[in-house]
Amino acid sequence: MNAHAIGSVRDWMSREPVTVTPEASIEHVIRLMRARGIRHLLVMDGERLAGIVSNRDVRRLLLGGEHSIPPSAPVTRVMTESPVTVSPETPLTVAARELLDRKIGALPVVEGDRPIGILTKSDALEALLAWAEGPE
Amino acid sequence: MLVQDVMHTTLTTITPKTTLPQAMRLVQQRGIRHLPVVENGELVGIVSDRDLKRAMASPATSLEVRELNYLLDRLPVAEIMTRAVITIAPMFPVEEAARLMVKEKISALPVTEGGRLVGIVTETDVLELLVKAMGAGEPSSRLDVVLGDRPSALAEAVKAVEAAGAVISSIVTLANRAGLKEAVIRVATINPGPAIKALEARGFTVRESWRGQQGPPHPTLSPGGGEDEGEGA
Repeated sequence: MNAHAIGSVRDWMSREPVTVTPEASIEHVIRLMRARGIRHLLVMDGERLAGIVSNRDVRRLLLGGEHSIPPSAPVTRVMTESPVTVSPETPLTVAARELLDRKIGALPVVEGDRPIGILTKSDALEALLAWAEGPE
Repeated sequence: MLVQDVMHTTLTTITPKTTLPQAMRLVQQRGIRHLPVVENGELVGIVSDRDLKRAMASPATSLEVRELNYLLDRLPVAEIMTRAVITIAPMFPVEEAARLMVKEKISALPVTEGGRLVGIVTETDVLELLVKAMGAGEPSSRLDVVLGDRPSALAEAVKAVEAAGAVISSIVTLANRAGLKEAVIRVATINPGPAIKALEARGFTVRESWRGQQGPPHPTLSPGGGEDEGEGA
């Protein structure tokens, strides 16, 4: 039973994460998520990771009433600023623990300051499943 | 571990006649993502928050907002629910639930027994379980230490690691290909540097088996022949 047989975040992350700028409208984000079949996007302010937005965040749009946010509003209104990140070398099991403890669906993977991928709960599940079904 | 051991049994369900806005409110109030649709105790469909969003955000540009809301208020979930629900039985192993969710790209599986809904198991539940099975996903490193043939070598290696402040989780000893004794010492830290330095300072050779690997490392103890000869404390 070896946590290292599962590998590190780099082995299981999705590379080339889909990104938007902070000015992108929530409407645009929704369309992008639908088109690409994804649930998380990174918000990039130039080279800087400004935030992460999930499809749960944009769900707020449908609340209606005075608390609703118009679809044309920028994604900054709903995104999570300065998100928790992991390095590609972090063992996958440690990253999975972070996802669970913080109750979040995805972790941006950064090398220094540069996002190089995203690790979602599904990715982590796939990794652990591969281990659970492994050759041993 | 079976599905029935991890599934939730207190469920929020709806009927085929529940309207979209009612379903949406439930989803928002309870913070859940999936609503099983039940009729006479039988699972007849499932609606996800994604389905609801998609239906309610449908661009019906020719309709006025008022007209759209009128229609949506009366739309029963039966119109948008998924009828061919992927389910699992309670006695299946948890890994089977995980496999299904990965394969079908879903994050929740209703658990049924003869068509009757008895529970639901989510991606989070399964992930939690598998991480725990790994030793709670705690930070962990593995040190492959060549002991040589001195009888006190193991005790010395353990002392060195502990003196460096690393907590030892487990130790396995075996003979490598060259007949030399090796200890696989697992320490509860993702930074085994100090422990390695302490061991090397005492003359032990340490092969660290995971750092710097290109892909998932194989759980072998001896990384190929040739490296074992002539080494030891």
